[in-house]
Amino acid sequence: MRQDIKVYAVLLFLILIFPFVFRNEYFLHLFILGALYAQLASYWNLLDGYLGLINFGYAAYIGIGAYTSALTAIHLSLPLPICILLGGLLAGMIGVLLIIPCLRMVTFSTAIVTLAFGEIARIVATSWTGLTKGEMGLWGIPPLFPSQNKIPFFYLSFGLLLVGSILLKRLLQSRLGLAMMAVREDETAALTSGIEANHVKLLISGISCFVAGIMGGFYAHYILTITPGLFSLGYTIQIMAMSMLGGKGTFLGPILGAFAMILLGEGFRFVEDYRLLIYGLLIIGTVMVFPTGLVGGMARLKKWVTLKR
Amino acid sequence: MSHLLLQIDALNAYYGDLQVLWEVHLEVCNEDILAIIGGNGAGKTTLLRSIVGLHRHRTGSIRFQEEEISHLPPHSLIYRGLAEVPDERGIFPDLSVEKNLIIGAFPLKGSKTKNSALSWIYQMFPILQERRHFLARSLSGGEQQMLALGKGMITRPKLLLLDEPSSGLSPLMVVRLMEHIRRIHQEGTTLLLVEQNVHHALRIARRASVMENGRIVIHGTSEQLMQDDQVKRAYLGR
Amino acid sequence: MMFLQQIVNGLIIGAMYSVIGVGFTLIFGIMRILNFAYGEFYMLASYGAFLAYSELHLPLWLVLILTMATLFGMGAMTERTLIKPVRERTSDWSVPVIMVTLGLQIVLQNLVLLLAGGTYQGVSAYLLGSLDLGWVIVSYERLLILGVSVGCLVGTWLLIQRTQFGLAMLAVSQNREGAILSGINLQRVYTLSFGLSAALVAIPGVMLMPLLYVYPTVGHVPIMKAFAVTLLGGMGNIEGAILGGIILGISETMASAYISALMKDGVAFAFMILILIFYPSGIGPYFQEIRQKVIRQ
Repeated sequence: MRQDIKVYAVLLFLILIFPFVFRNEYFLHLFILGALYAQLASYWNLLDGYLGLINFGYAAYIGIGAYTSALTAIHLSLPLPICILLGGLLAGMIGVLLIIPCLRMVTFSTAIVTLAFGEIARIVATSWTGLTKGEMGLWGIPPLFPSQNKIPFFYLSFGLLLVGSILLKRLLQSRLGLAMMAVREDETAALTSGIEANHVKLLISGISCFVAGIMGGFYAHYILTITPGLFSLGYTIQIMAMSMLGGKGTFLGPILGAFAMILLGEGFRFVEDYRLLIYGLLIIGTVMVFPTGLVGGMARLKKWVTLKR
Repeated sequence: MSHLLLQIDALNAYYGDLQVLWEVHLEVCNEDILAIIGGNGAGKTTLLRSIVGLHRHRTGSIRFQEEEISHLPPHSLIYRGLAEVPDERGIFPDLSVEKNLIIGAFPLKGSKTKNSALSWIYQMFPILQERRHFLARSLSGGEQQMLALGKGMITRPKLLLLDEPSSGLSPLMVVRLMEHIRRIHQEGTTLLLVEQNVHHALRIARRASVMENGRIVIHGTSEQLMQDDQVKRAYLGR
Repeated sequence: MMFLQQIVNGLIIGAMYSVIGVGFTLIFGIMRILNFAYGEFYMLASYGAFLAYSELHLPLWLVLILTMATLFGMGAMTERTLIKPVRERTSDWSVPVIMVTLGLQIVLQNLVLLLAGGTYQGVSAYLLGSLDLGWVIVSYERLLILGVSVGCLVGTWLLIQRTQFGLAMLAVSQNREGAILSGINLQRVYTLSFGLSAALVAIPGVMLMPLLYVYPTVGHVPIMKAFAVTLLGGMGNIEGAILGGIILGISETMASAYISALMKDGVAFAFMILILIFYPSGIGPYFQEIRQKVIRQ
């Protein structure tokens, strides 16, 4: 335990001094995105890795949070934290409602249905130009912090990641967390043990989508212009890839995966044209070498190295 | 003792870091019926799966008809005359009884051979002929077991491995099952029978081995085992 | 009469959706994976067809055969070189293999983008003119598409029901171990069926080229249809996919005509979800039940 606290203290210190060491705006932006994706990947993993429910429409909840927050800020001029909270709540509620028809379905069926929801949401966002301004994008979103400086955004994003991770850890260690994993392993057995599998699914979906909405709200008031592209399958897949590459069903995996993919993806910016191609090749390569994800792969590597002695 | 059909030497099997079979040594003679009995978790199913190669994390020698088979892919064994009826029966739920049997006859070449094999099975199990267009999952437990047996038998294997065929069957059905098994044996197939129903297993088999915690602990003829005190107390409830 | 016209149009495009769906659901049934690179196979087929038809001026039937053969090879090779190593490294390989197809999707899309550029290419219809049946008018192009779709579906059905290989595919999709114990070589089934899946999606790749055009991201369209049809018909259910494709085609055409052309995809998806609320396992299993009841009489 004491070991852990030391590690966390060091990490916290590093995060605190980071913006003063690396003053480069671009670097800060990368890490802000990293923290954003890390949170999203973690909470996507909550649903998939820990509960076993694949949500291929996850990006839609980010979009719902983003647009709700942006629109309430623009049209109702409410204080920003309230707007973001509203975004999260709406996303969470819709997340719960949309899972209801999926309760009777098999995993891959749920995956496709949620994908369909995501697509429908994207099409609605694109077509309802009166509300969302459609493909043109919604701009003029009030920022969270008045100045152009990225530093406060950096601290906020990592702050959100920290709080989100602590709450996630608490959740996983609670009775609900245990119930979740029981449902994942064997739903029938869980039911006979008195676990209300459907309630668990609804609750966890709600939490996961709520967080997606919150992060969407944060993103809207950071980037200041949003488009319906935010709802696309591509973002969901990216989040899923981060979670899987890092290690599905582990705690640190999605966080590691997110930072790894963001940094690697940007690392290849100098070959801009080939960037995505290399990205795809990397995904294939990583899965072929570490099929269970980096975290699992690292553990096996460690074992292999220590056995060699 | 006629020649050895199956010889297993020093078989060790693992699930990850956990060892589940320990130095198993087994011999099945031609035209014999060998029963393996033991409680839950003794390793009986792992033993069969290791023999056919469905479980590959194992070491040791497995010789069938004097040939080493442990490195061969599992699907090739039936072409050599080794078949298994697994504990989940290995049937195809959304296909008809007839299609199930035809797939069982996959290794046979030529439609004539397949058709005569099919007729042979229908003759042994008339109920299957009656129900031939029914989907396998709509059959009763006993009928499904018969289908599983028919599918395992249709290529007339030299050696048939049976994994707990009596599981899930009513006592009456178990008696019928044992009659079918006897009939299969009469038709010339050697049997290796894994069973939890010790009473019936010992009555039908000539020789038997008892497995406990992944090891063979007792070995002998069925008569010997039926008299053995340990066996009587542990498995026959006396 | 407009109504009947829409139904016919929907039926025709629906038949092609059925072909798209069958290829996708086939692989799900046999390997329990979602092939995310499926749309890219369509895209490659379209590019190939464009080259062969527009540049080399080969006749359509030859274009079809060549494209199908090429894509069969690509599919089989993908399975052997990319998927097989992952399958053999871990026992629970469904998800890692899906990841591989995801990576492949990105690679193929961007490779083509780099090599061919992002411009939209296209051909005008393969056939001109139309047939006037009084109540409805059907273009010869549409009739051709219908003919090819039906031929393809019948061929696939025959392959599955009447050949050894088809039987092997059915067996593997229902009980892997039972199939192994019956002497079926899983590796071979995986490789050949992956190739078959790619060859199947090559057909709409060629036939729908005049309609959807050719550009690197065109794969987005067929994969969405594949998802919808597969889900509607029941995961892994071939007959369900055939029915599902037609239902999707008709509902989409209706939505486009009576609600909004822009939102037709959304409406079709919504309709699909509605059906799923009543039939969570898809419509395929439902019809299977009905057929079973009839047999038992």
